[in-house]
Amino acid sequence: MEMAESAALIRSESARRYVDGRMGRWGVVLLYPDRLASVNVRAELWGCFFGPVVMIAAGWPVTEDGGAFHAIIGVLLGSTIGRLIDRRRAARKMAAGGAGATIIPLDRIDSLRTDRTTRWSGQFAVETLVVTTTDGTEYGFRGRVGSLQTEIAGTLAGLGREVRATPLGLAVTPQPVRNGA
Amino acid sequence: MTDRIKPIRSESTFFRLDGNRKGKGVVLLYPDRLVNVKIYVEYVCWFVMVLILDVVAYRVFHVIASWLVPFSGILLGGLIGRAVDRWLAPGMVAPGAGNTTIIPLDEISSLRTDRSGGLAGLFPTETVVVTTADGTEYGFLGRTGYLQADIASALAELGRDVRATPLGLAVTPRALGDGA
Repeated sequence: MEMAESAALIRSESARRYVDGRMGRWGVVLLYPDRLASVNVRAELWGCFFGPVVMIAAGWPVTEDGGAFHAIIGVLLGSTIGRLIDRRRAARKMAAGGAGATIIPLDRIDSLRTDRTTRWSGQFAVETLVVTTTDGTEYGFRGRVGSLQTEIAGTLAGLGREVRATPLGLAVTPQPVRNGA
Repeated sequence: MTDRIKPIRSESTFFRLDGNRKGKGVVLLYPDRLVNVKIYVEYVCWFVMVLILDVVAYRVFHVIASWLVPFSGILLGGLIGRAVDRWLAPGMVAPGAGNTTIIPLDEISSLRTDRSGGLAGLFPTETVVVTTADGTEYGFLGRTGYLQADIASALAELGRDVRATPLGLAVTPRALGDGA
């Protein structure tokens, strides 16, 4: 309980989480000095829906014909505000004990890699950060989480773990088994 | 002298040399080198899209829809322009020309990402900083995504030892062998 309060959040990003390639859930991934957490929150989705509604309603008396433009701006503005709300809610949930959150202790991370699917000759790409744990479970995070991979590696290095680059991603050298470990 | 080999990765970024701005362009990662090409098609796309949307707004809605048109034009123009930049950049690589900077992967000694919060973390900016053996720092500011990890993987593919440190990724210098 006290551990949750004392741990300082290093980084949080909106991402869709997958476990072994299934169960896509919208939420926020949070990196703490000792663990990676994923919390299910959906304010960004609500923002995408209500943003255009609010923008069109607000703009109606002024420019009643500009609905399409208002809708585009509404989606962008709504999702941006939703993302901010999501991150704050997720951090609060974790500070309150992290009930319902998926916790991945950094000690159990075995490797980090990026799965990439491209469209239109590589002009548009969907990338998923895949975190594999020692028991073989693969946690995927899809979103704008690009540099999170090297940030997790840096945090692991700070914990004294050896992380090396390989052609397939970053490999974490297993922790030596000590007495009582 | 253009280099039409398909890069492993390409990203639209602002280029910095030892912290000084050196223009906008595309960074291309090849198996043995990192190349920065200065290209400004994105700005042309902004202008063209603002004009097109202005005409559409006037014809369809019979209004110049104030700030919404330039905003949408820049947004859409940026999206299209970045894609065009990345498509054109490999064909514009010309070693020795003023628009091209080539960093051989062999010369890289470390990689790190400098991150700024930007409005309570809503609009963070990231700069991938590549330091070479002679101490020069090349910065790539923009949506660099997984570029740092991809450079590390390319270095590993070349047989270099790349390890994570709390400050970024450190590349172990190549041992001096015969003729190296």
